[in-house]
Parts: sequence; structure tokens; C-alpha cells
Amino acid sequence: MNEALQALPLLFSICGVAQASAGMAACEQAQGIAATAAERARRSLLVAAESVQEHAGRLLLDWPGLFIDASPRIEELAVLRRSVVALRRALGGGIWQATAGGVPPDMDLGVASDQLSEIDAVLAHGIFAMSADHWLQIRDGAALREWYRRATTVAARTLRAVEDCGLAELGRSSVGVLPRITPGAFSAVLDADTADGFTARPVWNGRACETGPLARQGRRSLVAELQRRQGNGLMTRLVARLTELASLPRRMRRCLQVMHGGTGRRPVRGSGASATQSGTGLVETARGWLVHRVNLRGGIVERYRIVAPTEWNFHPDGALVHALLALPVTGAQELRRRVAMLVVALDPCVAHEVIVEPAPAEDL
Amino acid sequence: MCLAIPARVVRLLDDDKALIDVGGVHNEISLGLVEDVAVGDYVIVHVGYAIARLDADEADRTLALFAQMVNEHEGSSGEIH
Repeated sequence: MNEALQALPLLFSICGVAQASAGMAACEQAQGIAATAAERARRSLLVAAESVQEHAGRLLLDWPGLFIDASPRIEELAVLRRSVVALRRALGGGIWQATAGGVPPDMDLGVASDQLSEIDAVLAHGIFAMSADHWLQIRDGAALREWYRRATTVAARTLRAVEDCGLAELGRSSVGVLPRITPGAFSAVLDADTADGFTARPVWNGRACETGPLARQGRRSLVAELQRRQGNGLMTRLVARLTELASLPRRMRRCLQVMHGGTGRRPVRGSGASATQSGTGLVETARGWLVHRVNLRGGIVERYRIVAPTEWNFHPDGALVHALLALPVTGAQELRRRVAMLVVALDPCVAHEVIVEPAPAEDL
Repeated sequence: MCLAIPARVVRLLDDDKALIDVGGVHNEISLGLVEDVAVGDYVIVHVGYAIARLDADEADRTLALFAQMVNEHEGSSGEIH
């Protein structure tokens, strides 16, 4: 089992912390280990920092070329990534260095706090043109519009371009969001005979659902208003992603406070939980829910299943496919651009390529 | 899913770019997000950018893990997601 936990961050590149965290939670549950509040906060902070890196990465690398004909902001992202690496180091190096039941390595919460300030500064300067907390005070469409008409960051110019090009509702569909599902409900599905099909093409209550920022931020007044007016189209999705990014620094600070106040970082074995030999770990990643399910036998992994967020959003009957089906017919070049916009708005965890092929003559 | 296959840096190019080799397939990538990369180093690549430099030991362990996974799937219809 420890081998499996150590392998996770080696196998998965862009969400290694989230994968390790979900795996750790699943294995701890299987062994009847309950992590302390401080340890849970440490993991949440590391996962949130990884999400900042992922959201900012797509925003600074993909959005400029796709929406505003500008160059990727590599240097700004490099600065942010250096701070995330330093933060991770200050918090003990990552999830994978603590084995289930073990003690996290030494940490320097002062350095961690400094790095959070660095991350705040990059987000304020490069994305929000104000502090992320301040940006979260934008609570309605009119105030948002005022922001993106005035600010000059990539994010603001992108939203302006989406409006100016009449693309706000691009990809609007009726695909619903994934409700909050308990680990127990996932456990039942992932232990069933049909689980292999579920991990590749997951549905909930018989329907493909969307996971990720729109599902998580839909209750905030700004995102809810956009959704009422423009549905789940391009503008709503991009704003949901920005809203989530803006909310992460505050979440990381809260985690750090819990860690400051925490006593006894050692995860507690046999703290009331029973060793069921099976466990489920759920982690909110930048792209949506990540689920790990482990079944042990005598300390050995008998079965291990993972449901990645991209499998929900890029399901054959899911959010991307329905968004594409709603696209108006345009020339091949414009079509390719619009498809790429929708793909980036949903943010798959792998590289993508858009190929436009004319339909066979008999289908025309 | 986002598998982290180590890529070996074959040649450094202008404009902070590099040529990498993954299982015999060569690609050009940006080194703008990582520092101090030399020919022979292994990097993790995502969407055209190196996002991490691996030390030799980590690269060896990761490559061994992937080799093991490929061997275990060889001859079966299983797909590595």
C-alpha cells in the first residue's frame, strides 16, 4: 500500500498533490486512521496551492493567444510556480512525504505565510488588477462588466473580448452540475461490477454531469446571475473559474490558521474509525472532483480505482460534447477557435488538438 | 488522465526552448517555467511546457513504474487511463 501511495505523485504530473491526497485519504480510511485537523488543513492548503497553479497556468498560458491575440505570460506564471514550490517545501514537501499513520516532516509556517503573500501579489498584479479578496466583492454582472471594461490584465481583456465578439453564451447547454456526493455513495458505485465502465464514463442518476469551478461556484451571486442570464456558456464558465481562483488565497490562509492552532500533527490511529480494509478519498481539484477507491487485503492493495474530473466533463454525453453540438456553423478556422475556447473553458487535464473535417457529401 | 511521463532533454534551442525525447518521439517544448535545465536532464511536460525537472533517481523510478505498467497491460485489452 505504501508503494502505491508513493507511486501516485510520480505517475500523475499536473495534479500530483491532489492525487496523493486522495490516495492518502482512501488508504487511511481503509486502515481506520483519522488525520488530525492540522494535518487535514496542511493537505487542503497544498491541494489549494496546486489549484491556484493550475487555474493561473491555463489563464496565463492559454487565454492570451486564444482570446486576445497576445503572447503567453510565461514569466508571471514562472514567478507564481516558484512561490508554490517554496510554499510546498515550507509545509514539508508535499503529501507524499507523509505515509499513512506517519508524522509530517518539519514545517516553517512563517515561510509558508510569506509565500502566500507572494502568491497574493502575483494574482493581484497579473490577473485581478486588485487583491483576490477585493475582486470577490464583485457580486453582480454590472460590477463585473465595469471591472473588465477598465482593467488591463489578460483575464479582464479576455472577458471583454468574449462580450465584444458576442461569445458570452457560446456552448450553452442543459448539462447539469454534479451534486455533492458523499464518499459512501461513491464507494458503493466503485465496488460494483460495473465500476470499470463508471471510471471511464461516469454518470450520476443516469446523467452525465459537469464538475469543476462552475459546479462549485454556482451559488455565488455573481456566477448565479450570469448563469440565469447566459446559461452555462463561455462567459459564465470563465467567470466561475476566475471566482474560484480568487477564493483560493482566502482558503489557504484559513488552512494556515488551523495549522497554527493545531496540536499534535501525528495522524491518530484507531481514533474511533474502524479499519474496513476499504476506503474512499475525495478531493476537489482545479478541474473538479477526484475520487480514489482502494480495497486492501492484508495490507496489500487488491484493487485501486480512480475517477478523474476530466472523465465527467469530457464524457460522450457530457458538458463539452453538448457545448460543441450547440455551436453555430462557421468557417473551419473560426470553428476551430471556438472549439478550443470551449475546451479551455472546461480545462482538460491533457493536451488537446482540434481537427475540423468536412462531413461526407451524403451527410450534407 | 494526466500521466507524468519523463521526457529527456536532447538539445537546448533558442528562445528558452528545448528538443525532448519521449520513447523515441521528439518534440519542441518551452523551458520558460523551469530553471537550470541541461541536456540529458529529465523534465515533466504539460501542454508544451516543461513544468518540473526531475532528478535522475526520480526519473529512473518513474520510468520503471511506467515500464511495469506497460508490461502488465501487454497482451490484455486493458487501457491505461
